[in-house]
Amino acid sequence: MGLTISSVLTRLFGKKQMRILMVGLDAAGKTTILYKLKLGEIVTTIPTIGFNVETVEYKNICFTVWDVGGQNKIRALWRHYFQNTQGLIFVVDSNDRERISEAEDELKNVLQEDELRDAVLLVFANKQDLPNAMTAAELTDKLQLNELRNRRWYIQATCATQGDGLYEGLDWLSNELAK
Amino acid sequence: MASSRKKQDEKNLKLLRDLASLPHNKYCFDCNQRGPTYVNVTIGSFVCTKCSGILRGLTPPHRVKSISMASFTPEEIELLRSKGNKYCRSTWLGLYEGDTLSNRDEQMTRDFMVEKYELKRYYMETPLPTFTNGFDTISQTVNKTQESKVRNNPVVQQKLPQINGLLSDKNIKNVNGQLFDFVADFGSADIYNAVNVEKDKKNNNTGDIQMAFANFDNNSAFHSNGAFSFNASNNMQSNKNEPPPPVEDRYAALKDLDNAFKIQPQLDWSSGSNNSSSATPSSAYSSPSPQSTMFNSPSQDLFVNQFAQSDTSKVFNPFNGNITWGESLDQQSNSSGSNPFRTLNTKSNSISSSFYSSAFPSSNGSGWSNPFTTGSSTTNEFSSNPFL
Repeated sequence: MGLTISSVLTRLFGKKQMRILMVGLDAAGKTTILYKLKLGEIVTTIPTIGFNVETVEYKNICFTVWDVGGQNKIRALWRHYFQNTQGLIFVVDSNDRERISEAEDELKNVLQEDELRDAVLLVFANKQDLPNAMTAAELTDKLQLNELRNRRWYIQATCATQGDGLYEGLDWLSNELAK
Repeated sequence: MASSRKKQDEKNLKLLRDLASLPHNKYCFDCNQRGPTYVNVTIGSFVCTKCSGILRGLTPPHRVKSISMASFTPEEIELLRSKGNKYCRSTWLGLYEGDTLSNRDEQMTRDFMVEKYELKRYYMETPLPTFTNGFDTISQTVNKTQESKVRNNPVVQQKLPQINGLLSDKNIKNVNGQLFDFVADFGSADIYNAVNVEKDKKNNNTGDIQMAFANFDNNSAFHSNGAFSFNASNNMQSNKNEPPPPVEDRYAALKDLDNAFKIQPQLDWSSGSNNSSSATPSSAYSSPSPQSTMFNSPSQDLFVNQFAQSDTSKVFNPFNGNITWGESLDQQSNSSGSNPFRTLNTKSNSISSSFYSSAFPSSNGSGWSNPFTTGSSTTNEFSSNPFL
């Protein structure tokens, strides 16, 4: 009886937790996104060596966001963060047309991982403020998101420096968590 | 396949580390910190971690790569080999004359990088060290660069071949406001322009130089001493062998000049004192008179030089070391006065006036008996010269 009441109370007033892993090529804007969500401001970042982790509360959900460095020799380290990940945020520099196929390869590699089979995929099409940026639709095509099977995914156009689109992405994540 | 790629990576990494240990690459290009850990593969420089972060945030962003945590293509290695911090300093800081870049806080470093890369305030196109034919390279790169608004200028095109080969790479590196060595031979060149240059310098050095280019209304060369007419006739001769000038608006004035020349073939500039039309510079084109050749032979280039200087100093002028570095000329001459044409001006006023007096029939008896300007008070009424 007491257990039931506490679980009801937790459900009403407690915070849900969601573990998020944020990956992507170097200079996609992962760290900028993380600190924009955490602090609400733009910090000067340096290329991430290792990882940054912050908790972000939004809509009564406590997102624990792991931001892992994306330079190509340390991408092999991503797999150490896969365990228990419920949501994967893949950040793409929409302006970087040269490396979009590299991004596609990395995304495919990550999604093949067994530990991530239940994780939902949120793609941030970042740097939409730049004049030559690819649209979310264009990136959906380039990343072949429509060919994904057994994966709940969503693509969100963002501009981390303005904060555009970030919370819309978290909205989608929180909705997915509630399902 | 995988092993060969790994081998290539290792080879590239070794080359990269060798490059990073070169003396000029041992300090961050942007903040002078010792021991760069990143490379900027957009411009080919070696930078520290902090500056690499700032570079990523510029608009447009520069691409940086960690020396130890990224793999490199042979093209990127070649870029870093051919450029490096030394070359980058001569281009991105080509016009910079301030103190060293060390001991700055992060905000200052960032502000300076915005000036350097986004605004290109100190940018000066420089040929890669491997090129030997410096002037061809410059003329090509100059045409591409945004700062250069003198694209396809007939004067530029005419002058380039003549001095191509006179210049070595050493001279070209001197272009940052310094003069070419051989300019000293023309030390007395600018004797007609003493006042005008000073005036134009004041007029132009703060404003947009390009705006004034070909704005002949503002050009004192057309009003005061007539030296332009020699230059213009010189241009006319040279233009015959050239493709038609570009259709940009700024050359409309030259086209008008051309028309004026065709309209007034019968005018003789040497009779200028009575004929108001002939007082205009355009009339000089039609003159096949001996005076014309006299001026063309020894001092042809000097007039071009005079024209270029007075015309907003944005025109390609080989003789003041100021190719399209017009802005640098202004900066330099304001601060150091290193231009011999200008320093000589004050001494040669008397020479110039006597030169004119003897060269041309004095029409008004005044000290400055320039036949091209006499009668200019009535010019507005009758002249078809588009510049007046």
